[in-house]
Amino acid sequence: MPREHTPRVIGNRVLLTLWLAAAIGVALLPFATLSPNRLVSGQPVMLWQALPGWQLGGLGLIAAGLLLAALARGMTPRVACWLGLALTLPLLGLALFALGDYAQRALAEASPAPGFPRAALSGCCCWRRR
Amino acid sequence: MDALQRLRLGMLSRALFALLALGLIGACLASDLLAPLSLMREFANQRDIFVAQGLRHLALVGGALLPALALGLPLGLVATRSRRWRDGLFSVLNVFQTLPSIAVFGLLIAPLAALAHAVPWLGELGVSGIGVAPAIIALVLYSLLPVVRNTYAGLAGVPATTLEAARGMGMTSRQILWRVELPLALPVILSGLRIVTVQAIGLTVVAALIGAGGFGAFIFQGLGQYAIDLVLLGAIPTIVLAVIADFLLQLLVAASRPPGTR
Repeated sequence: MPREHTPRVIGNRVLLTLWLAAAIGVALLPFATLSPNRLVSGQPVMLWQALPGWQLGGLGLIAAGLLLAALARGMTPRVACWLGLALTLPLLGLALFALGDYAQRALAEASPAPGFPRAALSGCCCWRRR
Repeated sequence: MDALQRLRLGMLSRALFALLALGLIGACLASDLLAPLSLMREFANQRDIFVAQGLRHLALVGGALLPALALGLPLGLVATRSRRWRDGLFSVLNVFQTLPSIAVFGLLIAPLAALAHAVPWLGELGVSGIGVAPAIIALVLYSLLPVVRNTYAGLAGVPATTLEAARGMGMTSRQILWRVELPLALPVILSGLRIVTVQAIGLTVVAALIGAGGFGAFIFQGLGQYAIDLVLLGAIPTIVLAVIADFLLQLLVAASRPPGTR
């Protein structure tokens, strides 16, 4: 008896898993942490609190595109792969830019405390002397 | 990486994509955009040490891979030719692979210290219970199994009909090995080298525990001080190094395949 063909709901499971991991990370973990030095944990700042609207919108659009590529609805797997690949570089660029931009703004907003105000980011964390 | 593999892009396209990604990261680093990051400040503070530890990391990996290849390739050949040797060899190498890396580093301290004490010229050469010598020995032991197994798999995978044809053409055993078996087995052997290189880059981090240096020194220093930036200063370049090595060796594996099968 021939096996019944069922359409695949998920186009790219690897991409979907990565997307879900990133979404959970963004929702639950702070994007930045402000602290006076490297020895204390600091005050966490979530992604949506740290970034201006256009950067959030850009990241949201890219995330939506990647989700579309992961589900591959209405497109062939090859097109979905190309879409995922095409969105990788803008995501990398925008994430790095957002990271640096937030660090620059955190440094500029720091009050002139004794010594140099130190704004810093560790991975997704940012430190600033208030 | 996953998308690149799914799309089965050619070597040139893959290299171009990697260059674009590296160029983007390089442009961000060069533009001082990321300069306020604490990670970058740690890097600026420790630039000289970072370069020295990076070179040490590469030297340890290279110093382990060369002996591993020099030992592993002939052992793989021996395993292909003799079933008796093969069983014993793989049993011993499997035992090495099951030992935890930290245990191996620890186990080597006493015998190497005793050896350096008993043979003074070895001590003068730098062999001691801690440092580079036990690190390289442990890395070689860990690298042997993938090299030997892939060499064996590559050579054993050469079709018998091909070997028969080579013999029929009047080739000697040595000619068959160099002109037929090794070129056909090369992609599998290089795949083993790829596994070993990435594994060695990661394992070298642990070697910092016994004073061998490398990027692991930053990681353990950072863990000791609860300074996450120092941990990242060691971890990020190690990951980048492993990804670059994996990518370059992937290209080499693809290039070593006969045209039409890439």
